[in-house]
Amino acid sequence: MKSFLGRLKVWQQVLLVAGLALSIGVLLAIAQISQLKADAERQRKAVGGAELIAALQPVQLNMAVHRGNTALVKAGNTQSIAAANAAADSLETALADLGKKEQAYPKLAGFHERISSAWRDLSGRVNSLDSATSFREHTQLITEIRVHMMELAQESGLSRLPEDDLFYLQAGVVRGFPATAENLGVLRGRFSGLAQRAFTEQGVTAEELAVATPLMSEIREVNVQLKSFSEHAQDAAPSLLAPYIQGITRVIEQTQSLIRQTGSIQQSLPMQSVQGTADPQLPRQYFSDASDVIKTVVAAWNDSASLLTTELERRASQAEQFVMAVIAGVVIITLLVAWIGYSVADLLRRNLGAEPDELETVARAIQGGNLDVNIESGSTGVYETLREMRDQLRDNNQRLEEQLRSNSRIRQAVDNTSTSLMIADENFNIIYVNPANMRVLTNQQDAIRSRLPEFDPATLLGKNIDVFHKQPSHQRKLLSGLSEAYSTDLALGDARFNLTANIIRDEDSNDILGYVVEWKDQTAEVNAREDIDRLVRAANAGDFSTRMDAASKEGFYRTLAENLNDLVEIVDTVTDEIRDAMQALASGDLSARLAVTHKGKFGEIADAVNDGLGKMAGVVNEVVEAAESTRASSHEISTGNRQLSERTEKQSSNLEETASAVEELTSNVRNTADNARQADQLSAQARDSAMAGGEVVKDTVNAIEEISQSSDQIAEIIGVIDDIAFQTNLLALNASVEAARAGDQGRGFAVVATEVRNLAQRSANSAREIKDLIEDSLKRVKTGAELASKSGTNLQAIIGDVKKVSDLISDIAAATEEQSGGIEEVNRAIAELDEITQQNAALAEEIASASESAVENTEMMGDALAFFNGGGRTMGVSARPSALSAAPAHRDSAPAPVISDIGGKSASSAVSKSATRASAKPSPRPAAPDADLDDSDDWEEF
Amino acid sequence: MALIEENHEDNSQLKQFLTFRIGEDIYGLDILRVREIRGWNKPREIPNLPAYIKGVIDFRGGIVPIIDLRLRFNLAKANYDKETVVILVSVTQSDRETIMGIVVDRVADVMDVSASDIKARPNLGTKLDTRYLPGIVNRKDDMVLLVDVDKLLDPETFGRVVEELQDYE
Repeated sequence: MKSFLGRLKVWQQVLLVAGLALSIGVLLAIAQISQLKADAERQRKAVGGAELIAALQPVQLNMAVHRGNTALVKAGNTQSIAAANAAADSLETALADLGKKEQAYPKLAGFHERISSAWRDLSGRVNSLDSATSFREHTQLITEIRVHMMELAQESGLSRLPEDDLFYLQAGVVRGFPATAENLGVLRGRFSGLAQRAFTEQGVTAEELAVATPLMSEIREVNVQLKSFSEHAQDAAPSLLAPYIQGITRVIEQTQSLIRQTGSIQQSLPMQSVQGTADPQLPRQYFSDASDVIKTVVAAWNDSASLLTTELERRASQAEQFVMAVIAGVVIITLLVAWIGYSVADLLRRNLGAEPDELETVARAIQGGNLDVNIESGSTGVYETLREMRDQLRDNNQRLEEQLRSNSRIRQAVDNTSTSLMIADENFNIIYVNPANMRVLTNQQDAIRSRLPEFDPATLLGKNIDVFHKQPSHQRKLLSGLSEAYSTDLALGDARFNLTANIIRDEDSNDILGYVVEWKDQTAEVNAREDIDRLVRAANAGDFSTRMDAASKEGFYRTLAENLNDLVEIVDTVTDEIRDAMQALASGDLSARLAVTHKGKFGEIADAVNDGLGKMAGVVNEVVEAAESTRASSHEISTGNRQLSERTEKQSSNLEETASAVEELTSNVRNTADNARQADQLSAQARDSAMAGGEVVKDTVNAIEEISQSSDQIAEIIGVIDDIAFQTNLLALNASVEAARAGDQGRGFAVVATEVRNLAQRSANSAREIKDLIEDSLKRVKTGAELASKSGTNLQAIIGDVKKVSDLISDIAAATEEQSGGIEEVNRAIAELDEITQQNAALAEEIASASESAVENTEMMGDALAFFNGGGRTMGVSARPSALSAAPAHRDSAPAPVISDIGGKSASSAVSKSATRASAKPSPRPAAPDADLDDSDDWEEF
Repeated sequence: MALIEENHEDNSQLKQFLTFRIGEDIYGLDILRVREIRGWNKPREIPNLPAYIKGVIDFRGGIVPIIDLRLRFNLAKANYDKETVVILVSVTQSDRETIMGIVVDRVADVMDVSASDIKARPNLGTKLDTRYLPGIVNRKDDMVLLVDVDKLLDPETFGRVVEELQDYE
């Protein structure tokens, strides 16, 4: 067993344990579930029992009703046949219902067939049976039904229900209520039948009535049972079973009352029967009272049965649901356990990464120093960590070896370098002096000993660094506080050193491991620097006579000293030459030149100075010539200026004439404007008159038209008259005809008719004449109307024309206004022109004075240039005398025309200006310019 | 006719004629044949009759055809105006008296003529069938053609027309 477990892997072991635990749990769960399922089935079966019992109830009741009615029929009450038949039908229905219910519960089936056949048998025979037998057989069947109820309760487990509330409920339903109902039914039938006999000849005795007594005691017993059921129910579930308990209470009350009633009847009826005082309604009354009680019982029974069924049903489905819930829970828990087991195994496998014994082997190998042990990569957990540890160890080893090699390299480099190094430990003890440093110290040991007599380079190693210092504590503090390289100079006797100190620190902890000091011997360097310093200072001060002592130097410093001496020499020479040349220039001599033998920049300087001097000489010559031409130009300007002045005056007089002409023009234009305005008014009047004429003509035309209309009316009237004349004529003719037919009797009448005809004809003729006249006058009127309308049209045309004329005149007036404005502008322009002309005249004067001063300036320039005459050695000097001789001649002629041109006033102002300028700006030049100024004064006087 | 003439002869030598105009021509009509003179009113038109029968009118309960004499005389058609007149005359044929209307341009006058003034009818007539012109009366300024209505208004034709009209009625 152990070997088997040992062969398994760890995660497999975990899974095995989890699986075992799980299977035990599942087995237990299955057992529990089957138990629960059995419970649920039991409940379901109990439901079947309750339902079948409920179905049996109407069978029992209807059977009882049939029994009672059959008994009444047998007693001679034919009215009850219908009731009996109805009960039989209800019974059949109840039986059919029972059959259906039984099909739903095959395990509890069988009774339906039995009771049905028994009932068929009884109903077939009932007519031939006597009353007592019928009653008995019915009662037997009912008893059978009741027994079966109890059997059903037994078989379906109703009577064995473990729940108290349901047990006491079913007890009432199965035993209490059926018994009470049946007993009451029997009592009702028997007792009412006996009571009935009290009113027959047969009569009834107290002994016979005592038959009811055992029945009543039975009822009481059942009541006691019911009472105890109700009490238990009250204890078990008062609220759920409240209808049941109330039903029992009602049943007990009513049965008690009925029993009391029965008892009193038992006592009183035989006596009353004998005395004949019995109430004949009593049996019927009793029957109905008993029926009421039975109804109460049945109602309570029904309520309780349905309560039982419902409650059982509810609990059964609850139990089934619970089973389902338990199964679901078991499944979920199983899955959960399986998942946890798998997770734990997986976690273990990943944390270890390999089997424990393998891990042990690897760890031991590493401990033993075997770093090349085979460890597979890509695993996890402890195994992978071991692999990483092994790799890291291997890397560290390699790094240490490399560091050792590099240290050795550096040591040799330091030994062989020319830089002199000294290294001290953290306590400032000298632990290393490299050969270069040893050399430096040995070279200068004499100089050092002058300061430190004990000093010996050979014994330096192992000594404290304090030997070099007077104040070791200060030095130590300084060194230990360093954050970067520290450089200082050290003088030991005549020896000069430059020391660079630095701290060596641990790379990781940053602790001080020691100090390194670099020694530089600077004795020779310092001496040379002081010499050069002296030389350069002298040169900076302009003293090029100082030289370095080259003989005392060696090597580089000697070469440097010689070269510096040469440089100073050259600079000295060149500056001397430049000084000489400039002194000559200052004295006006432009002929001095530098020696051309210098090299490089010095040569360039010499060339530049020589060039500059030469060019200056040339420029001086050109300026002299330019001054000459400037003087000539100034003369021309003066002449032009005079002409300009004349023309300006002429222009001014022309402008005045123009101005007066324009003024005349202005007044003319104003007159025109007034005339145009008057014409405008006149034309407006004309237009108004023409319009009035037009109105008159229009009225005339209207009047003529009215006349024409009247004439038409007259013509119509005449037409009517003409008609009348014609008709009259016709009438007269007819009269003549009649007269003719009348013969002699009509002669007088014929004469009258003839007269009438004549009159008619005359009136017709007159009408015709009037008509002609009127037509004639109509024609004339029409002509008149045409003429009037034509004159109206003409007038309209006249109005239009007058309007046009008026517009034109308005335009003329406006144009004249504009002209007037324009002329005013012209006036203003002329005034401006006049002003400008005045300004021009002033400008001409200013130009005159300006040209005068230009001449003045030219002369001054000539004087200035005369300064450069002193040399007389170059080509420019040869040209100068002629320019100089020409200048006075110009001066004689030039100013004279200028003065006469400008006129007295301006001339004198110009001259005074130039005079003030000459006196206000005294030239910085010495004697010669002064002589020139005197000359110009002479010219002014001239 | 003979009776009338006889009457005239009995009472006087004068005969009376109603004169009327068609165009420039003046005609005369025995006044005793005239029943009435009316102004022109458009008569009721009857289809399928000769064009000179303008239609019929009601006259004192009888149906009377209206004949345009211009058309009967084959003269140019003239417009009817307000002086156009209808003369209703009595026509006798085979002792049967019929009333007919004739349309004339103008009615002129009643003319008294003595029998001696009646000239014989002209022998020549370009425009007219002279059978119904029994004579001519010369007057101062003009000449009047006398008309025999019995002959002018072709009794057979008009009789048939009248019969037809009566049937139609």
